[in-house]
Amino acid sequence: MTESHYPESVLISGHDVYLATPQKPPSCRFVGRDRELMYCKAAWCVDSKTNRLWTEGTALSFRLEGPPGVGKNELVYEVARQLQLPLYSMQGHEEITPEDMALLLVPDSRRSMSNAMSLVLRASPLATAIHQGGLFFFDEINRVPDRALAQLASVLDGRQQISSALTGIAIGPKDGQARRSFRFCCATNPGLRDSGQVLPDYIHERTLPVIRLDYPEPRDLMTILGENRTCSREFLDAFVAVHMERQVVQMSVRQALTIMTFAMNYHRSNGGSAKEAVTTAFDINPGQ
Amino acid sequence: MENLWIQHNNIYIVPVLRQRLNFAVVVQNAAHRLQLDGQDLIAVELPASALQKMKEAIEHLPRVSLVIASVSGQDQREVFPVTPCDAVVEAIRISIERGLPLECIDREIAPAHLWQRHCLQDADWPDDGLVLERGVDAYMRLIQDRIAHPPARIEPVDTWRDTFMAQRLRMLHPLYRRILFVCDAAHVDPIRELLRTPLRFKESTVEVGPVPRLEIRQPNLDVLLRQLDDIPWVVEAYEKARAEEKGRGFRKHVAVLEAARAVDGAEPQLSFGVRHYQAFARFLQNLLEYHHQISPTLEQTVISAASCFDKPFGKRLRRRLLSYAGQVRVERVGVCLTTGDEIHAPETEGSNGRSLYVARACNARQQAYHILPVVVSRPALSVQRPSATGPSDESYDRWVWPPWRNFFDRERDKAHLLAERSQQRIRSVAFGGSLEHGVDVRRTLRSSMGPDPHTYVKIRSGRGRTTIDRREPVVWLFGPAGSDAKFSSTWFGIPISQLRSWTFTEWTPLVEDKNARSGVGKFYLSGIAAFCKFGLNENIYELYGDQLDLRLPSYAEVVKTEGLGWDWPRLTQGIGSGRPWWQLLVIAGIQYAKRDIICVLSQEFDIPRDIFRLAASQGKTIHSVPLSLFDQDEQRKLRDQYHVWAPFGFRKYDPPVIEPALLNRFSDTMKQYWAD
Repeated sequence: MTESHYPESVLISGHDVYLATPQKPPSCRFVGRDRELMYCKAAWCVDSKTNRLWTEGTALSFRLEGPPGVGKNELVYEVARQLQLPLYSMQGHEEITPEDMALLLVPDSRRSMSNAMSLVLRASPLATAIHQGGLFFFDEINRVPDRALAQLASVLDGRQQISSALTGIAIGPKDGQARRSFRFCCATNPGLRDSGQVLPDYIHERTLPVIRLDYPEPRDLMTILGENRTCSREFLDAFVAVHMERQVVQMSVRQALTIMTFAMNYHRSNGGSAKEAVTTAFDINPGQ
Repeated sequence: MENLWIQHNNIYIVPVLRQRLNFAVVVQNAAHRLQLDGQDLIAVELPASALQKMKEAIEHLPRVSLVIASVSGQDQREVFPVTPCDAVVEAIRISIERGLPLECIDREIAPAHLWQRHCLQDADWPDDGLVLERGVDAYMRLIQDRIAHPPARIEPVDTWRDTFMAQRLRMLHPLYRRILFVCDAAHVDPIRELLRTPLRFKESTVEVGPVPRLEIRQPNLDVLLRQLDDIPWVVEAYEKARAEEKGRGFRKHVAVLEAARAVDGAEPQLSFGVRHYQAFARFLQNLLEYHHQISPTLEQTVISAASCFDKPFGKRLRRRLLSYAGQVRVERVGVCLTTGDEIHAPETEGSNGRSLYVARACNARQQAYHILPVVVSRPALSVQRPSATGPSDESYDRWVWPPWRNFFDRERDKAHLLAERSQQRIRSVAFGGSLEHGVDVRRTLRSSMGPDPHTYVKIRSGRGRTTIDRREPVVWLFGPAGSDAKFSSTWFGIPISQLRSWTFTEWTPLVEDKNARSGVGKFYLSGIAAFCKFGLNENIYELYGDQLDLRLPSYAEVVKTEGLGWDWPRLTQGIGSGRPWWQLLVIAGIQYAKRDIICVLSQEFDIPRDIFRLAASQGKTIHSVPLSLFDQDEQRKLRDQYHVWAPFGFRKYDPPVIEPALLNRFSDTMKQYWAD
């Protein structure tokens, strides 16, 4: 479905609602994570040969767990690219309210600033994905306050709808096709557990299976770095050498990219050899 | 179930794959559907010489064994596995159990003729679960090309055998009403062809040549696991179902779901809900459909369990699924530090590199088990309840398991942090240039309806003090509130001086060694008042100074009454009189706090107002922290307080000496209970 096919606004239970626009996943080569990718697609009832959603079967709302920078978001983007379905996403944070999950009243940007404030209803990405059908990704869901998460109970069971306290309506799929093509997934950062940001049980049980992403294999890490067009062979070799010398066991993709970027910037500013720059970058480790 | 045999006149041929459980189920169903009786015959693809020893080995099922045939003057030995998941063995068992005539109609082959047969692992071999869904005809069509050529067929040996078996069938079929013939799928089409074509010459069925010598041997672990289908425990489950006459309806994917329930049932405190099971069943089903499979593999089952229950559950399930009827047990011996994966002790017999052991048929989907665990059986143990004795000159030998203690102290720090954060509250103020913590939409909207609209934003502010002294007590209330758990305590020092904690628990001994007077046990905590960190030792005097007696209860305060257990008179007969156990814990926390008491409590607990007033009257504050801020894994680990005991004879409280001794002595045992 191309962007021009996404409606700007729809009528839901007599209310004019502006829809969220789907996210465009970045077009880049996805490296590694074959097993996790398979788990995601199996959970979402995707045919392994055609990459189409099954017409029968029960899709599950899986949850990705792993430290920051290991590729949770990229995994979801890759699934969206393979399925060629619209992807909607939300970023979890402590200030999300139940209204943010469903419908919001926002200023109508098309009215002149000199007029009295005019408000319109805008559907959240989650509400849009439910209504139109599509893939939905909730990042860092464990940051979201419990009272906002309570909205998900009716999304993640057979009802597949979300209630708007603002308008008093329930937003569900517009038709059978939208119902069959809605898929939910989320990601958590286990590191937030120590500050008490854990999912309540009723959401934990509804977002199964848990697909764990650990730090990438060194081979995959090097491939991803190699895909980076600004990274020269010389720097890549220097990175491999220092990585092995330091016997680094766990390094996220984000850390590795940050170290490489810093090393190249450092080299541009101060000269010297690639290995010296990479060694300095490892010492400072700006990715941590 | 679809068709179970291929019929040729009165011969009902059941083509099978050897050592594949689904085909044993097919044979069960075929025998049942035909309603065989004394006028019928069961014929199997076995040489007659092997039958007697096979029957002896079958008597010991479910224990798997090998019948080894050797011929003098030859190095090779022929192997006949006796395992419940083999269809030929199943046919023999049916004939024995129902008193049916049985004939072994395969040719006697010297083992040396079989050495060319090599079993290859074929990852693309069609899932044999299809035979139970679509019938033997459909499955034979799928594997036709594979079984017509090597390695499934080796010439000229297999043609000799086909000819011999066809001749034997020609001789036998007029003598019986029906013949149920169970043989390897690779022989079915050639034998049918031979039965259809006129006899050109009479093949002799008189065996000539040396008589093989047969013996029964126990397989090593490597070989054993290859005789147990894909998942050993499933074969054990089939045996149990068979004994209850439910073998005909046995299905592997149902059995693995049962295995998950059995693991959960063995650990009642895991308490996984219905949704977990639903997710597990659905995810496993989705994985099978994604790979176009019917039968689950071990890895698929374990990954589904780990994803839908939790990782420790997945590990427990793996150990269970790899175990078999006491013949195979699995023990974790360590954890890979880099990946966190479990490592099992390998135990295989060394190979001298020559193909001495041959077989007539291969399981073309043989699994290769690279890492194999075996447990050395432990001596029988008896229950020994640890004695919570008071201060004495005797050495003190019971200890909280150090890793649990460290974990508990970390969670205590987290409880303090959460209590501090809960003191902050959100206020709404008029927008003054900074968005602070975001727009307060509700208040702004309400204001916009009025005469003087303003924009409002949210700010976070502290309520008085925000720092809580880490020495303050933490009371954990797990529940249930109606628990009849017993009072217990942990203490500090030799001789015992102060109490670290006051708990209400249920004691469960786990491993006991009567002779060595050592063991492992668990207190399942309903609640605990932790007055200080468990990890504090000699530095406790520095930390508390002259306040030690005010901040930690002394051992002299608790009284042990024979038959009634432990009691705390000062509390239970004073202000705590008549109160439920959990309120006593909170009151104890108030008693020994300086200014703050942290209560981590589940939803069922509601601290009454009079206890809040009691704390306020002493200038102290109770901070409530919901237990739901700790995830399920943390809650489970917090509740299981592991203790170990052994007669070390320590007469001085010296943690640098004591703890390494504990870890050295109990690490192996504790691996099955405690995973960090």
